[in-house]
Amino acid sequence: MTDTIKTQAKTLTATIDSREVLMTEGMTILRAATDAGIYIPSLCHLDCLPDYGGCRLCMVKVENMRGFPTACTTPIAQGMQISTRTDELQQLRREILELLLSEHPYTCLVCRDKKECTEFMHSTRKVGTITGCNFCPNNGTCELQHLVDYLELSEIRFPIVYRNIPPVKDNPFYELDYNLCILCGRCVRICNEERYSEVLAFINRGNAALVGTAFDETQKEAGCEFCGACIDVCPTGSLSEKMGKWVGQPDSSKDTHCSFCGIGCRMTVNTKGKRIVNVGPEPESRHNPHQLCMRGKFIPGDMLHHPDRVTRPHINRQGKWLEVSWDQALDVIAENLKKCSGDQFGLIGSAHDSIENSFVLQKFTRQTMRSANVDLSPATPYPELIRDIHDYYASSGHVTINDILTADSIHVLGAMTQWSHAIIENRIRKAYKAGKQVLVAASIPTRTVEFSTDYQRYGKGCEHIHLHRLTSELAKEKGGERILMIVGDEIINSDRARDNINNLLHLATRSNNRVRLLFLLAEGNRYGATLAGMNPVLLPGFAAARKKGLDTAKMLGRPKAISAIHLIGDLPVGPAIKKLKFFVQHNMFFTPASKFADVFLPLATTWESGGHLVNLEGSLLPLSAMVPGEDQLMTPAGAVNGIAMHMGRKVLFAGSASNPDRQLIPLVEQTLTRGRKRQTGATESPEPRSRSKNGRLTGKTLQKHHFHYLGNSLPDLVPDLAKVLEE
Amino acid sequence: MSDRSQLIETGKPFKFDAERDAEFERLVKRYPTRESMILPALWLTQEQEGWVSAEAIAYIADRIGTYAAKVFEAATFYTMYHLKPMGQYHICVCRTLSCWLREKQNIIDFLAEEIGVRPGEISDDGRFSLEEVECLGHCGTAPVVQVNGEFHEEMNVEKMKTLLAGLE
Repeated sequence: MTDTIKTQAKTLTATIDSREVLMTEGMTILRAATDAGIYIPSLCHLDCLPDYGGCRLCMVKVENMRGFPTACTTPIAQGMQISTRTDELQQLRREILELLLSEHPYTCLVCRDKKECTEFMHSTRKVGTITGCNFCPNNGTCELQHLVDYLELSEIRFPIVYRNIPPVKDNPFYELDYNLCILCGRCVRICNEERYSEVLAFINRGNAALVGTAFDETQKEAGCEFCGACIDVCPTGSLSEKMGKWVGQPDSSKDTHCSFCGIGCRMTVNTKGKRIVNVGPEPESRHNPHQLCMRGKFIPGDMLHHPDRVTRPHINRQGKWLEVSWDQALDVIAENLKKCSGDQFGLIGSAHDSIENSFVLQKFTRQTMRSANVDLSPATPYPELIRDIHDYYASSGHVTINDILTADSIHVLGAMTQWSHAIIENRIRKAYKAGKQVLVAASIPTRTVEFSTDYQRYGKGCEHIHLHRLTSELAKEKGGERILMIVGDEIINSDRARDNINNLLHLATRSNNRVRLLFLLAEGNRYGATLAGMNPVLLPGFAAARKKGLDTAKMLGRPKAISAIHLIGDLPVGPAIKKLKFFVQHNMFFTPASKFADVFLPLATTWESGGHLVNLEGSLLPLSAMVPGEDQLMTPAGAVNGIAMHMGRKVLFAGSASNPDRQLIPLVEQTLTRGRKRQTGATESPEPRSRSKNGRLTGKTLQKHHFHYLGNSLPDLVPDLAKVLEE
Repeated sequence: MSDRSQLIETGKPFKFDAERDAEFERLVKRYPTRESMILPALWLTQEQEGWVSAEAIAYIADRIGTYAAKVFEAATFYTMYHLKPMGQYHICVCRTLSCWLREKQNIIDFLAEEIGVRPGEISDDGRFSLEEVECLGHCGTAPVVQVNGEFHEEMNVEKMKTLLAGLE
């Protein structure tokens, strides 16, 4: 659609710094210059926000135009002759910057020893109060520093005004030091105009002006969602993550996708050595320009570098953990698993894992162990759920999260998007602000209700009744209104998930694609892992398996259903776990379930090993290895391959664990674009449903479904997260 | 963070009285967006209560359909909104050029002595509060004093005495 707009809009020619540039009508000078690769300084402009014109640093000289218009607010016109860097402009900008800096600890910026200090770092660092760049968490990425270099500012004529405001450290994830704030307003605008969190505002006026919250409450009291957008847009070190504060300057930066929830946001991870310093969103991303959520922004570092992380294989010797080498651990596993092959064995993986790992894990189970008992934890209420969703996408086209903005009305069904899928929540809020109809139905009200035109509350566990009423109403409607239904936890994880989903799919098909469905999958790779075959009834590519296995609920439902389990991640302890003959846990941490494990293997997560995932839209997204991780960590694929070799069975993959099979990625791509290969003779299983009791959405189930990584509870790992979620 | 005692909670719920309620509804039709009502609503509150409390800010935000930070922002920006209760008689003395030149300081000094309040203070009995304000727009008849919104021109200590006596 944007392409057609581009071709329709008039193309103009203008000259910027004696370079002729082509641009489209309606563009501002700043936009046009940026597109042409010409830098114009600005401390307040952000592409994702309306033009503001606050800092005045972007002023330019335009021939035959009075004064110095700001490039960020002046639309470009045919034949304009623009200069961006004349001596006069630089002098004016220098004066503005001098004024800004007089209230910002600037000593390092204009220090005589600046060069030596940066090179040899002979000054003291890491002190409680930030009095210069060398002590600032933003050193090196600071836009003020950059501007001082650009404007060649070497002296500030005004006296230093140090505001001496104590730094605010009372919120869990970030610190605020208002002594560094230049009041550019980016955080206030992104909080209110992009995230609609509506927490920040300018308080007081003149010299006393500050960024603050209503009634001077703490961030948490004021309703902060801890999306971290304010930190990402801050040009100074005024806002900084607690996580990486003492790690130092990042020495490298990599792009990847987040795997916490099904959206798969693009993110940039800054690292130093083996540590994550901080995480930022990708400014140009289609999904999440300048945006992440609490989990993606603050959790990865805390989780991966957690002091309790287990980095060596262990064997359980009468309740005591004995550290062993990988060879020893694999020998013990191989020896024990040889006795338990076939239906005796079960493998439970995680939907946070990559498709590569999932593929190898199911291959290990099916080929090496000759068992069909392979599933994810937590499992879907019925095994074919993802396949059903996939069939819908394959026949009606994938629904993307940006479709929320183009639909005429949006139904949000049984979802807690504010915490579970924050970027989708953001799209819902945007749609609401754009005057779209947003109809929310859930058993407990969340903040989404504030951004809805209608809210219906149904009793806990009664989602099917509401759904039934809604679908029959909509089926009667004959209008041309395009409806998007965002289907959340209460529908997907209900005891009646199969009926609910069939009901919705039926409506979608009958409406001739007027009603479209977006399923909120909780984990990053639920779709991809199932596609790669981590399912008791489905082979890679969603082909029906001849031999059907037990799903997670059945493996764990009855003691002695199976005798050996290989588990990736963690799961709640039940009686079945205690009765196992042999239990391998491959995880990042010792958990309550580890008490019953015979062997514990240290896990290399996708953050450390990379791979691919398929997000809830059905896009194949690459994950890069962010940090190398400790030497002894191994991926799930690597571990089961080792087990197979120690058992004397066929090697599972010849290449690397990150690319185990040349056929895998083409298979995934092909399945996603063309849909599943229909197999003749494969019967749809009319199996009785597993009666899992996870259909009730409460604060607890929210945590269970959305705030875990590989089954490990994130609030348990990061106490600050628990504090935020406890309300 | 700014001074946390800046806003005062009364502990009582705030609500417009019938007259202000009607006025609010009348004014709301004048503006294209409801957010434009922030300043008039704060003004109505001050008319009704004499000052703006934390509860009033929450009420206004709710009434307009915006968020509290937005109203708080406006209330803390404009100095003419009082965020604490003022005296029964709120005396404003202009301190801008003309009034300054024509010796507004004498009036301030007199008031400090007579009723014991300096600018920004409230007398112990709560009867008087004093504030120095920027130009009141009556430069031709400086110095100007405003008592509860009423103008008194060409003021001096003598006239101030009579004025105070009249207030007793």
